[in-house]
Amino acid sequence: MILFIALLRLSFLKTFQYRGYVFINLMSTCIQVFVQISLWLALFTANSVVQETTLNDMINYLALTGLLALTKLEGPGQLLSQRIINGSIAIDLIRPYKLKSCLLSQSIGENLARFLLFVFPVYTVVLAVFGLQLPASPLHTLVFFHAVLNGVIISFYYFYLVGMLPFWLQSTWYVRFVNYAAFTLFGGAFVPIWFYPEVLVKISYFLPFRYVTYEAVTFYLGRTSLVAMMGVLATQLVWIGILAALEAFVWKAAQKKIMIFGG
Amino acid sequence: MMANLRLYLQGIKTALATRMAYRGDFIMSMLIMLLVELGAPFITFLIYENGASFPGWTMYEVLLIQGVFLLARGIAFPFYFGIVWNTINRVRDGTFDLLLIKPKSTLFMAIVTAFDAEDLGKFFGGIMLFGLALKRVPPPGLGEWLQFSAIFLVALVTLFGFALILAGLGIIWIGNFRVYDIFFTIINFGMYPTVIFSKAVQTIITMLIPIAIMGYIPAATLLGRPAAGTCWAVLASIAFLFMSLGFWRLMQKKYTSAGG
Amino acid sequence: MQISVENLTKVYKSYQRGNAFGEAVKSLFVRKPVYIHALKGISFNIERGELVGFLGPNGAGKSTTLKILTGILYPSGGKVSIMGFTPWKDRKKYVAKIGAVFGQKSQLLWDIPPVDAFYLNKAIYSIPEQVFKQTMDEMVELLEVGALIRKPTRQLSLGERMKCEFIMAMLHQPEIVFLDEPTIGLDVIAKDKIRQFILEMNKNGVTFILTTHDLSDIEHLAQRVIVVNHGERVFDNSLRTLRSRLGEKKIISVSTLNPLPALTLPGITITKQISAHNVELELDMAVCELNKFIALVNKSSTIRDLAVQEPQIETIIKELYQEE
Repeated sequence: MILFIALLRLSFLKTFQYRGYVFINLMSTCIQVFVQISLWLALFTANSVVQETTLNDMINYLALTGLLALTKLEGPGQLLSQRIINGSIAIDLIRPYKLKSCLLSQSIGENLARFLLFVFPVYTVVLAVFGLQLPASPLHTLVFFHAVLNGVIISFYYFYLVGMLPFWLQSTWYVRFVNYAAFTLFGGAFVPIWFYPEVLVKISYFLPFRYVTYEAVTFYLGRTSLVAMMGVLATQLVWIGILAALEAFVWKAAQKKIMIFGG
Repeated sequence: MMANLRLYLQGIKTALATRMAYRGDFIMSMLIMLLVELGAPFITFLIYENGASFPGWTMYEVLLIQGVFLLARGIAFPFYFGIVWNTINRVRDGTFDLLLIKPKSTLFMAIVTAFDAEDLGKFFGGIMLFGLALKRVPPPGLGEWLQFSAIFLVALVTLFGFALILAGLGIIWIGNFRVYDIFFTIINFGMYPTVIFSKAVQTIITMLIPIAIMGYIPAATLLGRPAAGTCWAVLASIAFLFMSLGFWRLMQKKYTSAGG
Repeated sequence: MQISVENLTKVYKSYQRGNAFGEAVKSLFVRKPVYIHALKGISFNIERGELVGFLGPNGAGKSTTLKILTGILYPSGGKVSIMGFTPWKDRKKYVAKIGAVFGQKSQLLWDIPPVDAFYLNKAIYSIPEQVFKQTMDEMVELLEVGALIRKPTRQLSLGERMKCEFIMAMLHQPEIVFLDEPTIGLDVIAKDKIRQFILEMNKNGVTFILTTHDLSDIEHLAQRVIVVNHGERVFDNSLRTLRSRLGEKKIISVSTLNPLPALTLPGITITKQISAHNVELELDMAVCELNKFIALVNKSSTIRDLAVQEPQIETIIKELYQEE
């Protein structure tokens, strides 16, 4: 536990180290948000309501998705991939700590810092300007955060699974690209899934991506009823189960591979 | 002059040979690159499919803008835009010095060693998107084609200017790939008709950070409805090029004074 | 003279960083500059055809000097004239006449054969076809890599790669070649072959400037040694002079049949007492002659085995490195 906090703290502080890094990241987030808002502003000035969505809905969707973006725990999976590629995974298996919690703490630390430095300030300004929609009741707020938490766990296991690919694949850089594309598309990163053609919407139900942040945000905006949300929470738990089981299975297979081939 | 051209071609040959050493990866990554470029067209499609629109613009006219832009990048990225990655990587692992030690301009050496075959995916994508959109818009006349070609050349030159700035930043902000991210984000403004944005944004992306010149302005010219202030945009882009050349030189000087 | 360096100075500017949270946040806004004096006024001259060894501990200013001499870096002060050029000012014209081999930075291309990289260099230096073929063939034969240059670089061993790096660096027939750790990581045979090559090229009039930590390189190659420490030149003389600083010392290892007495004679310094019968020591023959020593030990303990060695220049170099 102490190790966990220590690693978290280290990761957190490391993010503050380089002036250039902080500045560039802040600028990057600001510009990203500005581009998106400009586009929606332009669109909704001409067409005030599309598919029961107003400009304010879109801005809130954008802001919430942005604020929740860092709950997508890509870190542990990425760090794992790096360690496999450069071989240090062999050492990790000998050392007396749990690799998963080690990578998790680093990732949480870094994401927390990035959230505070880049994400939170930018979207707070956006919502201050355009107006934040509030949840219908305290119960709704609770359910929202529960959905977010489930999403965190789903993303952790998903990316951890993907992170293990270097055990079997030679070059994996395009896996990241495919991931990014899949998440962007079926996770509704830029455009809400309710705008998609039927075919794509149907596909999105078979993938875990919409359950990471999209469902939570959609519920927050009042487009999903409380009752329906219970079903969503259940589906999230199912996904967690599937991914966790897969992860454990693949990890065992990977360990066997290391033992046989020596890294 | 001829010697330099031959050197550049030799650089391309070498880069291709290197890339072919991993044949399997190549097609896959070209496809991936192409897929990423379909983002803006997809959003455009969604917008129009859901009954909304950009006033005064049909879907295919917007796709034409994106096609022109993608085509411009499809020429720039393989042939010279790679100096950004090339510079960033070399400065980071110390091999930038190996360029300085050659009896040619460092910028030229950076270009020679920067050919990126994979980005040809953008080129093919650009041709396809451009062709697809062109079919569904009123066919342009000869005059429009000529003007379009001239402005398209300016677009290519502007992309070179951007490459110079990004590569130059890579010299002083060592190993910083976020710089590339920002550029990637800003060019999203170039995917849509500039006129839909606020006046302030319009001025910025036309005159200050010449993005409109890379998609909207040539496409509008081709469609026979040239954007207001096209001439100013062209002049601004050329000024931009000279400024970026100066920036690169400055950064190179900084490197040779600080030793990397 | 071919290379003239006068009072070369170089100051680097760096910034302090904090570690605690408060300092880390503060460093986002305000930074304290730190000045590093890498070179404090170095001067030396080198004639055409010399083979000079450039030594110094890490951080001494060696690579800074090398970078300035190759035109990659501007100095803060001082003058450099090489073949009539100022390296950083006349860069393009100047570097056309020099070559460089970096032990840790490869100029070859990893996935494709060295010969492709050679052709790229041919285009870069505008080497005429005939000259190129001739030079390449000559060097390929000298280094015996004919069968290798068409295999992808990653399939070659380190020694084979190094040989190709040398060819790469000398295809354009440079007058001066800078070597930065060229034999690092090589096995004895490869090292030997490379050293032979350097000596052969040096005989043809090519000036070599060799930076290395490998003192056996220096012993085999350098006629002259320049030692740099703390940004200053602390030694600049022939290898022979460097050796002579060792004086008339010998390293002796002796084992005897009977136990040795306490060897407390002046001129004898015990370096290792392995046992009562076996000892390693340093003998200063200026103080105690060799035959006297042998006679003494034989008389008291009867010599079973005796080995006499020249000391390595390592000891001098260590001394020079440790001086403040």
